[in-house]
Amino acid sequence: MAAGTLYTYPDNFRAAKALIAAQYAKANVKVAPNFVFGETNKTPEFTKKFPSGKVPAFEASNGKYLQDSNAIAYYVANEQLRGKNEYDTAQILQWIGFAEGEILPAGCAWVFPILGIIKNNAGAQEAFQRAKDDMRASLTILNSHLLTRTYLVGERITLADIVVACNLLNPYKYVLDPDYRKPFTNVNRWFVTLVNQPEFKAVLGEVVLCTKQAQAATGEQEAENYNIGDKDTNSLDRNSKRTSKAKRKKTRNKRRNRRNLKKETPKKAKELEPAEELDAADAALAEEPKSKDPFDSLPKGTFNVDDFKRFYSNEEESKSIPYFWEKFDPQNYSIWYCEYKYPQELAKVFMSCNLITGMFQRLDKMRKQAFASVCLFGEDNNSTISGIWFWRGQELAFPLSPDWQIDYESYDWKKLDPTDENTKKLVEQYFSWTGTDKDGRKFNQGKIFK
Amino acid sequence: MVANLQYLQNLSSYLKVKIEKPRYNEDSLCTCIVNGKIISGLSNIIAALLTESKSNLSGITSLENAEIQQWVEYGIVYVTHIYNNSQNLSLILKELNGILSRKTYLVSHKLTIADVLLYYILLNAMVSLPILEKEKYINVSRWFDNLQQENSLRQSKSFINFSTNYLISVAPARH
Ligand SMILES: N[C@@H](CCC(=O)N[C@@H](CS)C(=O)NCC(=O)O)C(=O)O
Repeated sequence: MAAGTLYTYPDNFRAAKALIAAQYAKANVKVAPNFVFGETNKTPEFTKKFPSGKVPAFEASNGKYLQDSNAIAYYVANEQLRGKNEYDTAQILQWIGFAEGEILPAGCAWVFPILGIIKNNAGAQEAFQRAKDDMRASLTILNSHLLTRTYLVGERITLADIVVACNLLNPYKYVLDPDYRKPFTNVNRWFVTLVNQPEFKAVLGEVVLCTKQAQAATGEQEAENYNIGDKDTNSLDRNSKRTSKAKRKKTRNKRRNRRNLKKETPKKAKELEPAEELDAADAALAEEPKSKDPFDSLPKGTFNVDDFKRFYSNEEESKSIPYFWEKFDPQNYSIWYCEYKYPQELAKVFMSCNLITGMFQRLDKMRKQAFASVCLFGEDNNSTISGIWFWRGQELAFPLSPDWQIDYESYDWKKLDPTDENTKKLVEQYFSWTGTDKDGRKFNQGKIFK
Repeated sequence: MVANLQYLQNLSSYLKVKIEKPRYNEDSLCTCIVNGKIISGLSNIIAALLTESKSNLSGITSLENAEIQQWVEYGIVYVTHIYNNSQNLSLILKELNGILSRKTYLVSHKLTIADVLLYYILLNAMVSLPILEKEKYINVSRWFDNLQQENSLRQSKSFINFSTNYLISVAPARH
């Protein structure tokens, strides 16, 4: 496996090709510290090793030298990246040719005047216009290729993807604004997928797609004055937004009550030992009917949940709600409000309802000592889920059983004070399936856990 | 219904986690034993298989995991019904096709259990899907074709042909 030192200035999209390839191959490639562009690469010592004096340049730990980003990337890559047969490798070369011969010239002519890398004069302006058209032609070719393919060659990430994506990196960051790139759905999907792979991210960091086309500075203006790739405005990539949102919302993990359960297990195992030659599966089967109600460990209190459920099913809410308040035992039972944490992700109403039914099904064993009315508000692509629950005990019930773990962390849980007027209102609203959610979305459907 | 046990078997061999005594319990829920524990309900079992396998088919953030859960649910409750009538199949394919036009994988930017489960549920439908339908749901086809490249996922089944040259030549105007 190749190892060595890469000479480059920071954030060089050419060097990135080699560094990403090295990530995939787990090759030990280090960037030379103290490299100064325009100085280090002009020293006789450097040009003796690398005659063109261009970067990136690679000095392998076995004393071999190599120039050109694509050649270096190939050298530090692994088998998957180089293609799994000769034809795949040939296609990779074809795409590298396309990246260098078609994409790069257009990309540079468009982006460089903006980055201030080349002077923006009349000649550049003309090249600039042509570049936009050339870029469109290249993206059209890529787009139809990627309609039926996930990656450029052989349905797996290869050097072709790395090289083409890196040559598109600056255009996507600085000039391919949402309007311009809109027709190229397949290229966009492919690019966003790539730059979000851990191996790409390790080198490129978070790639924010251009929201507004940066303009080249004209006349005396310095290119640096322009604010390119404004990070605060909407980015095309919903997913990058989601991730950061998700990071902010840290999940709380409540394991308190699980200890109760753990105490039980060893005893049971011991009881089973002498029962001859039960294999593990039979043992588990034999144990099945005995599996305890997790609520058994909590005091029973005076509230008969079954009676309430019967009453609720048979009577109007005008009777069943007062009945609830009359019988409810706040010492031994608690009331909770829950709200699904990710309403933006609820697309279709039928999928959302399904989420509720699925959760109820998984919580089956909780039914005996719990009740809930969970409602969906709103319509397709604009809905929320929230509900009112009560169960035996004063703590969040879900940690009581390993079978109840799947859903509850996707909800925010708030314990309600039974003496509070607001609680009365919420109970009334959710038990009778009326009203709106807190943003005014209309009640759509409700499900009862009973 | 019986098919659900088949999907469990597929997942169990893909994830290399043994399931024992798969059956339907008295509430007609899928039930089996995973690592000595009785688990009922397809998505509970899938969650247990995932934990046991230590695979990286889960999400990274809690949001990603919630999305995966939605897809698993969608797969079990809706996609499994594509075999009841052909209208269900077109509805599901149409919906997935729209979603997959902008996404390489269902959740995040990586393969997750959501893709894997839907792959197994859709497998028989894709085997018998006429070529023109494959073209019509081109994004589903592309997604499926990418998934089936993984030998351990495809298991002993043969490749489904998504011959792209043919697809393009059949309806070039669409693209
Ligand atoms: N085809 C080469 C091009 C390298 C290249 O042009 N590098 C520029 C910087 S991005 C350079 O080192 N220029 C210095 C010079 O020409 O003296 C590659 O991809 O590595």
